[in-house]
Amino acid sequence: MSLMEIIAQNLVHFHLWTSIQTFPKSSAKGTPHGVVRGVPPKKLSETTSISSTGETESSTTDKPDGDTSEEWVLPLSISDKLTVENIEQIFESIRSVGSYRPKRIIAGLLDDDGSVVYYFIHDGLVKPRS
Amino acid sequence: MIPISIVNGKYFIFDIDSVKRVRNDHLIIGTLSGTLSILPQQNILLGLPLQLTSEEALWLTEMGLGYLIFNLKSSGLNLEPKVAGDETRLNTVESSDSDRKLEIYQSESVQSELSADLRKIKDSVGYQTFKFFKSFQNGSRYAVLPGMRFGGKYLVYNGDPLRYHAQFIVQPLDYKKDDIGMINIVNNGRLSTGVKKLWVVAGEKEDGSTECFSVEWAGFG
Repeated sequence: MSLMEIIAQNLVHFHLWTSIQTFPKSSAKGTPHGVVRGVPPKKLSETTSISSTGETESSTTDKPDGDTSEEWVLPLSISDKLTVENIEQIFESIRSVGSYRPKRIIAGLLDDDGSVVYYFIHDGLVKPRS
Repeated sequence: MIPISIVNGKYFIFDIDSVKRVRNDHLIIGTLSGTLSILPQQNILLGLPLQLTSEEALWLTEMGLGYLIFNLKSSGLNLEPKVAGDETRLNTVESSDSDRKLEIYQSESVQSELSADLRKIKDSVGYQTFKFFKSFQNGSRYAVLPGMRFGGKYLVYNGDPLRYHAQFIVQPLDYKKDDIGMINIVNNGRLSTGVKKLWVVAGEKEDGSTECFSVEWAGFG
């Protein structure tokens, strides 16, 4: 089973995500193991992005139909290497498979024992949760 | 313009009005580092001078807000052969009336010689990131302090550190080369979320702009 499938299964059976869709490395170019799209059982926290012009904007995605509950998960192994440029490429890769650039992605890190941890990677600067 | 003294390779502001100005107008915080001569061991409350980090000193000079001055005896800088060119000019710096002295101090050749040490960090990823935050949202809205306390290179405050908590723990990285490190994402992401901050990785692109990504615990897993 590929790393992407393990993460997808963890999302479905452990965190009860729905509408899971997987995009393998071959279609989501630039991602180390592909990318997973899904909807969490409860909407994850909203973020307020800070732009260089001083405007702040609240939303989780730029999705055209306004559905903000959809999240993108990037499966990663604990031994992967990632540069700042790689993250930018991954955001662009998601734009090509999902037709919009998300405000954030979720890094799903898998360890050798099967445990998975999830971290937001926001595009640019956002306000910290209070 | 604010005079920044170089003493022993470190940068200081000795004038209280200048200290107020850099703090209030430009959010340059520095560290108060002076003790009283009669109580040199008392170091709980420190006063003038204000010591600046290299980034702060370089930024002030680059923005045209400050200029560097030196004390020949304690600076250890040897300006005579390179800058002064002739003996008379250096003597002018040492002895003449203050207006003339200032003019020579602020001249490009003297300033470029004095800032030789500072220019070494000019192209570093660290300074580029410092500058990015200092110029973000058209100016001095963010205070950028050394970030040791939270395990990053810089701590970025949304205003004066006495009035606000820090928002970002910043790690400048080479855009193409430096590995962020999966363990670092977990370590710093977990720590920063625990203290209501964000861990920010920043890299400078080829076109000179800075790209940032903020890392935060997702709240599950």
